[in-house]
Amino acid sequence: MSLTRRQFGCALCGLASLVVARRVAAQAQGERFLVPGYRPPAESDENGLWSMMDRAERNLKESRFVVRDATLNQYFRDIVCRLDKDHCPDLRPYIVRTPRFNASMAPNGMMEVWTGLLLRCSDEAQLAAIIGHEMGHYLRRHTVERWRDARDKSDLGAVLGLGLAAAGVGYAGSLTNLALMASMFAFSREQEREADEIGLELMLKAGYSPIAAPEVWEQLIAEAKAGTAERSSNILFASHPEPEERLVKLRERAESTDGKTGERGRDRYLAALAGVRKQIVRDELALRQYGRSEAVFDRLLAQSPDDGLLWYAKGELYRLRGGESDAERAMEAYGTAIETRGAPPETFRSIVLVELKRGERDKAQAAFETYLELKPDAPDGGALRMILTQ
Amino acid sequence: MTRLSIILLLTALIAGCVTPYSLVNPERQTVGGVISVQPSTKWNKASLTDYQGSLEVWTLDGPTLNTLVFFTGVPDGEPLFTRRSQNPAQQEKPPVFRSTMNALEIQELLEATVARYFQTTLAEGRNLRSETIAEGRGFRFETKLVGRDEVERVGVFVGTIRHKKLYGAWFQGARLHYFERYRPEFDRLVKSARLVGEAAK
Amino acid sequence: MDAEAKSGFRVSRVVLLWVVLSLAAALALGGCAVPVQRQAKELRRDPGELPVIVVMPLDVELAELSAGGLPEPRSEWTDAALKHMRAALETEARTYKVKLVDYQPQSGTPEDQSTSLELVKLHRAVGGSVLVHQYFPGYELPSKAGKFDWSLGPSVAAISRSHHADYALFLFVRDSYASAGRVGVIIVAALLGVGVPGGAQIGLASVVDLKTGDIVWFNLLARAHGDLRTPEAARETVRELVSDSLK
Repeated sequence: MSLTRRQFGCALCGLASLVVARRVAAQAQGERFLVPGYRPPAESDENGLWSMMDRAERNLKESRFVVRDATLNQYFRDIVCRLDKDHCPDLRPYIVRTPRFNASMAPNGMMEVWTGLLLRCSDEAQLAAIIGHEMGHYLRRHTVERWRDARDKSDLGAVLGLGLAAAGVGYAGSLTNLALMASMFAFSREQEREADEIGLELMLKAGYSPIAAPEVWEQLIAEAKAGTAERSSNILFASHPEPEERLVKLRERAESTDGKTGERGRDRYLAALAGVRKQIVRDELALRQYGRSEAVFDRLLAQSPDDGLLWYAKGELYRLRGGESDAERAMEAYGTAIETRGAPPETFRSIVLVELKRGERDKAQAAFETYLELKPDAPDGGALRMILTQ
Repeated sequence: MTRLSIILLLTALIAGCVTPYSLVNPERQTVGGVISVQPSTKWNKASLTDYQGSLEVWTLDGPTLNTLVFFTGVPDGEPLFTRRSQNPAQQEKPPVFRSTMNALEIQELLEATVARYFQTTLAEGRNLRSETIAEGRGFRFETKLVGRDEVERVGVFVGTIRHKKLYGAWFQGARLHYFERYRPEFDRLVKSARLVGEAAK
Repeated sequence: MDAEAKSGFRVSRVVLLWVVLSLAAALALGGCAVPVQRQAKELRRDPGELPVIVVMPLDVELAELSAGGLPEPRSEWTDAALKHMRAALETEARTYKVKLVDYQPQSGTPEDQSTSLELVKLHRAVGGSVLVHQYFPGYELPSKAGKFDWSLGPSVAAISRSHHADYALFLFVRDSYASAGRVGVIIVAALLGVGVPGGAQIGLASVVDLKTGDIVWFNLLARAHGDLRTPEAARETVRELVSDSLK
């Protein structure tokens, strides 16, 4: 087929004007913040993105990986509404059982927080800091901006995958791919700065201690340093680049507001997590990333030296690592856990395993009996009996 | 047709998964030179590109539906298997088998290996008990696994340690239909199992 | 359909879309005849009654191909397509004298509900397996020797009970349309003598016998044309995909 030059030229300019037209239409409704109850116009590209997120959310609702603990979910909703009661009816938090630090919010109001994050926050204020930051991205529609940029550049895999990756929807692929996509789709420095500011504002208004905001990023960075090359596959870092740079600013801002006053909500936080904390700790241990996990447990224990579950966790870490003198370290940690009176019954199960390794059959047997006393319906009772009799 | 093959190749590469299958007939087979079994039905042996280690994988209906993984002598200090698609430099070393491990610790090892390579928190073993495997002292436990495709899978792992190496077979499949349908076949396979070659010395 | 199952069969949604569209394009371009797979000749028909078929949640997505050839989901197209397809199914049902009911996740006992949900997830995995092992050249499972014996298993009784139905119909469609920019690219390519797919349509349809769980009918439609955005064209697509199964 043959075309005149003009026809050819117009076919191409059709593309350009289409893109521009869509953008202009959308920006025409720019305000400072998303209006509560906002829904994009039906034919807009933003609505296409929302619908995609709506579909992803329908899948998420049915996911086996969503934590359905009623107390914890209510607690979450309460924090969101405390931070922003105008917008909280539009927001729907989901807690997903993934042992990594990540939180994200999709343009349609779906929020996803991973249990690895819940493990690492020391208190409610730190959790509020993260939620506040993500709400900043949501209120300023950063995700829509990023998505449009990526789509216009036609980066490979941009549209579908990144839209989902932006929402942090675990459905979107392996975690390594997710990190890769998240980095292609990262927030800009300007967007990050904005989200930090808005997050801080929300925290201050809600009465939280603003110093929790730089703290939580500092903790993340320290943990990344303690692991080996974990940084590049850390999804949160991938989508929120250059945290060190922002940290300086964040700390300044927080401290300038007399940062240390304000609520921390530590006891409330631990109480809300009570039903899932043991499971979250075991998910972390299953990763067998000892350097990283040790950094987390040590930091948490420094703030909370009487936390029996965390001493048990440390013990498990050493037992599973199984290096030189690790058995001794493990036993010491289990001992400390028991002293705090907060040790889970599984501590004695672990003692059985360590004592057996050391050839101390009698001690192993004694620990087994204590375990059954504390947890008579232990599903692994039979398994322990088996290895004790071998 | 060249274009077609390129597209298919690219497709396969993108999907990173599809591997050709070869027929396993219902007659005595030696897996990895060390495990001898007698299947009663035809199986398909998958050629592994993504996985490395002392293992061989069979399937009946495709790997998303059921798999039979043979562990053909995991040596002391090695992981059960690794996945090549995950950049090793990006992670700490995977957990490894130790010949001094007891069955419960091997169960924990499988849980951790699966959690890592299939990126799921929903992997667990239970109902561990001892059993005679390949005419020697062994063990059996059940597994439950939900992958990122949200399909619930159940399975059975049997194993034994000989000469400081782990030999085992793990059959698992979708909880609905694809495991149950072939569980009797797996049980027959296990009964028929013998260690041969250097494992039998 | 993020499948992180065993043996590396993990395909993310993005990748899956690429896979199916590439396959569709490849099959269409290669002019491959894509066979219908069926286990049973016809639907069971009890005298004086119409067979009841549950229409499972239609897994449909329509996208626009941008200039770079990337699919961008268009939700309003998808919504329209869902409507048109459902109407088209009704037309076919009348022609072939079957009764259609829509899947209701809240129907039946809590146990049946949760089993039904699990079956929907299972069917995605089974459909994926059928697609690869029956249609990808070179990836056949030799033990099957070409036989089509895929099933969801007897637990489908949960759906049969809760919906009082004899069969279940699953439809999966991914469809893409050239945007104006894409058309521009096609024109340029044509000038340069290179063929570029304008868009592709791929559909999978399966009919499951709720007595046994067996997939009694499986069809793959892959071609470079077809339009689900309008009622008439949607009817044509649905007919291509499904009608044979309703006989």
